[in-house]
Amino acid sequence: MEPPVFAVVGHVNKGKSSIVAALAEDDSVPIARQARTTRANQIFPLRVDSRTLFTLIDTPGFEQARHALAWMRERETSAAERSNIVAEFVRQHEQTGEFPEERELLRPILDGAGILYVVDGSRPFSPRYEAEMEILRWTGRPRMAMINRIGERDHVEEWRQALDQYFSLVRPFNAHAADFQIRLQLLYGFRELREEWRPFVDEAIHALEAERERRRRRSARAIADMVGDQLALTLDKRVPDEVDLAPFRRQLEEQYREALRQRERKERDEVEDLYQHRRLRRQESELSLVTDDLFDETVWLRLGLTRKQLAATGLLGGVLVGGGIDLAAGGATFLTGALIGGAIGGVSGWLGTRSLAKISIQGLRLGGRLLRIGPMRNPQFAWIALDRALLHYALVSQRSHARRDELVLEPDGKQQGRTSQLPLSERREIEAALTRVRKEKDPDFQDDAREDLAGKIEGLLERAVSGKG
Amino acid sequence: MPSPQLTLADLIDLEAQMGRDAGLDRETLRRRDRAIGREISVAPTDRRELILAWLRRVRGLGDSTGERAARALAAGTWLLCLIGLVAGAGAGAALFHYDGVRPVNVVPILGLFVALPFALLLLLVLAAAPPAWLTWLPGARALQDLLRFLSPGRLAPALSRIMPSRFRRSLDEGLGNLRSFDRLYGRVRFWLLAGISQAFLVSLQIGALAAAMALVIFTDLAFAWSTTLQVPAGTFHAITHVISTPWAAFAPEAVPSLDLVEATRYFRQGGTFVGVGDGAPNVVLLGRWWPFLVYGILTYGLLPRVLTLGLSQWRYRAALRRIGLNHAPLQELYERLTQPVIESRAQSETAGAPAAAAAETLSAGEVFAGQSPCAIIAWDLPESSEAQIREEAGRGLKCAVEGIVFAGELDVATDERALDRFRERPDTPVVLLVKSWESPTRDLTLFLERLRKRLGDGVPILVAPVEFQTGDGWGPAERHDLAEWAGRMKAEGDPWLRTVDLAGRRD
Repeated sequence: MEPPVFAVVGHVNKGKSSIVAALAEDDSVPIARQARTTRANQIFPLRVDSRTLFTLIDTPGFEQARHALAWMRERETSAAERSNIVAEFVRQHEQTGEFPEERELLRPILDGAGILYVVDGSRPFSPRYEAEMEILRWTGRPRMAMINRIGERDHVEEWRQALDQYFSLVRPFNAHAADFQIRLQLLYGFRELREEWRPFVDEAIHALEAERERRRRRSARAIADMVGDQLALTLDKRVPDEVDLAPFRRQLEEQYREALRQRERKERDEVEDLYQHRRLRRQESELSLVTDDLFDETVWLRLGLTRKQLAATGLLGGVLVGGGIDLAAGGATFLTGALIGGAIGGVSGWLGTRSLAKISIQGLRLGGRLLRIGPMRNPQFAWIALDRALLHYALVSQRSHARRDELVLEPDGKQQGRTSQLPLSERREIEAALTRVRKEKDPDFQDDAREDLAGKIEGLLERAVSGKG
Repeated sequence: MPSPQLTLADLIDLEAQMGRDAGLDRETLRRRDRAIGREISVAPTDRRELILAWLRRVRGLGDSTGERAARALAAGTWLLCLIGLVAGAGAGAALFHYDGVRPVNVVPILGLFVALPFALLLLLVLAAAPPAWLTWLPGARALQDLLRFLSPGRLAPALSRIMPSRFRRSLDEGLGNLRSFDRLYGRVRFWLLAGISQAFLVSLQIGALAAAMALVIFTDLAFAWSTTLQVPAGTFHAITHVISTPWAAFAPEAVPSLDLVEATRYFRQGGTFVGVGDGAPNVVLLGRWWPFLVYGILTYGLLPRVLTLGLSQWRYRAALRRIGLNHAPLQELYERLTQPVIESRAQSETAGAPAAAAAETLSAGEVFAGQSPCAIIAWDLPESSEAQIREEAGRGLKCAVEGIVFAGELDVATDERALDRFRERPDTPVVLLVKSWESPTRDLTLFLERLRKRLGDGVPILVAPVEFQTGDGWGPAERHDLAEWAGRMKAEGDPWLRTVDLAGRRD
């Protein structure tokens, strides 16, 4: 038994390519508002370990369906002959060069492909479309109609009444909003088209579900690695004796911030790559919350845990959260620094009273001084990094590959980050895992600590997508 | 079926391969490893067997880094054993040396071949203890680190430097990789080096024993005991009695008697050794110490080292067996081997159609001045009545509608009827009303070509995209729809074919 082939057909510019892009997770499929984006059939085989389980074919749209049907009707003798007439139509016009789009789209159907007919449910039905549906019916192949709503308006019921007369299965499918579950539901529809195709489609569904889990697991580890690297980040700068430290300090702080941002970008790229979003552009607008600078105060206020939550989580002992305490800590570190021949201060300018990472100055034996920043000591940082990553994950993992717009990472303005909504017991567990990552110096144990943190994050990712957490 | 035994070579090769793979992109690794994973007929639950089978595939034929490193280490170990044998024989020959004047002193022999090995044995126990057990003992961890540092087994890698350079490099790389995963492979490394140390010490003891036996057999040795300490003969006898306990039952002749101890004590006096007791010692008695000494070396020197050598080998294999092969890179490898590779993207990437050239739209006011006449073809607008078209189009186009014909409907005969209306060249522009959201099709453009033939050059054909509003009325077409229509109409190359915006906008 050959694996099934599904030809995605429809009128010009009704979202066929969008549907194929969403189902094939292929963001390289050309999709544009203008018609005739697809000029020749494009093949999208779903292969599991090089074994094809089904193939989608993106076809050019119907351009002259009325005339094609008229040609066929002129030659109709009996219902039994209809599919032969369609084949004859293709054969004869190969020589004349007429009806190039109709010939191209009918070819795979005549070769045995199932039909996935796409219409735009946001626009009214027109009797003219019956020409396309009638030709498809003449082919005698199993067929299913998909109502793709490109715009805001709703003409789905109107379409459904017409489509029900020509198709055994009619399913709404919004290619731009199609997340994994919606795509899976559509695949279940494919199973119904023909009994013999079921094992192939079932195997594909099973493989896609397993792949989904693998991606989630790997994403969780990528996030845990990012948080681990960011928490451990330290940067050094050699400074000559007897020069003003301030410019060096500012430079080092900027490098530190940039290094944190770069690490975050790396994680974003990894997650997007896992989910096959290889051409995704993230919005860099300053107005957008998550793509704001990591050090933007608005992010600190809206993501991560509240001060109360941090205190309750237990890591602070209810001390560090106090607004004036950082000043005292700054004084203490200064004294410590004085003992080793330098001065130690906190990098707190951009966060008001929230210090981020320690900056220290040490005398060097061969002269000069060493300015060092890091590791991250602000307990809030990891939670914010986590929240940002969760938000990004939730959007990327559910994003349809039919979309060509930028990824805008903007949570609901009033909404807190996801971690602040976790139950206290879970926050404590995550904090314990974060503390282990923060404190573990041995690389092997660090690996264990990150794996443990990744396990916790995986649960968060699952809920971030299901909307339960 | 038990999982296959991991060898040192495997371990080194595994880490070396992980290092090499770190430089490859994920997609390449996934394809390579999944292909191997599918070829390997191993249950995916047996992680160790799967990973080892994978290693055999990627390692290929010929010498691997691990095999070269293991060979270099084996050569170093053999060399160390040879040195042990020579050193032991040297020490034995020196201590059992009898020059005919000064008898062989039993005390240093006991010290070197009985007391010292026993003490070292205790230190081995300390070194082998899991670090967690020693937390309660102050300084024990530091001592353990020191003992590990001083282990003679550490000399084997150094001695392997006599091997050709590629072997040396393999060993350096291999042991370096293992060192960088100390928690995972620390026990393996410890028991590997402990085993080499024990092999060295066994060789040392064999050398000493062989030298002693050779001297006993081929020369006539005279033994005595002498020490600066004030040890009465009774005490020394008690000590030798305790030492002899293990073999006393089956080799009583190797247990020194009190008579022998008393008779063979010597002091150094005026540069010469003199015995105690009555006159010169019995020469027969002077030779009776050797069975005791040989049993002592066997029991306290050689036997424990043979046992610890066996123990080291056993623990080394157990440590190799216990390696979970589950740290992050191997976890990823396991996933790559067991998880299917799913591909769903296009077989070949194709470029989309080139964007239509931008073209301007006209506003109705520019075409129809003061309600001038116009003829209308309603393309695929069966849902609109003639009256509605007359009203909406008349308002939007600002023209006096002279006639309306329908075309582009399901029945192609409507096209012919519409064209028949233009048998004669009209004096008015012809307006083609189209649904703005429907992209221009070949069907329409072919109709326009036929219409142009009917009208002849010079008669304006104005394509006016119509947008339906939620109610029955018409509204302005969306900008992007208008732009598409304008672009496609311009592409037809008909200078009298233009797109007009019913809403009066002009681009």
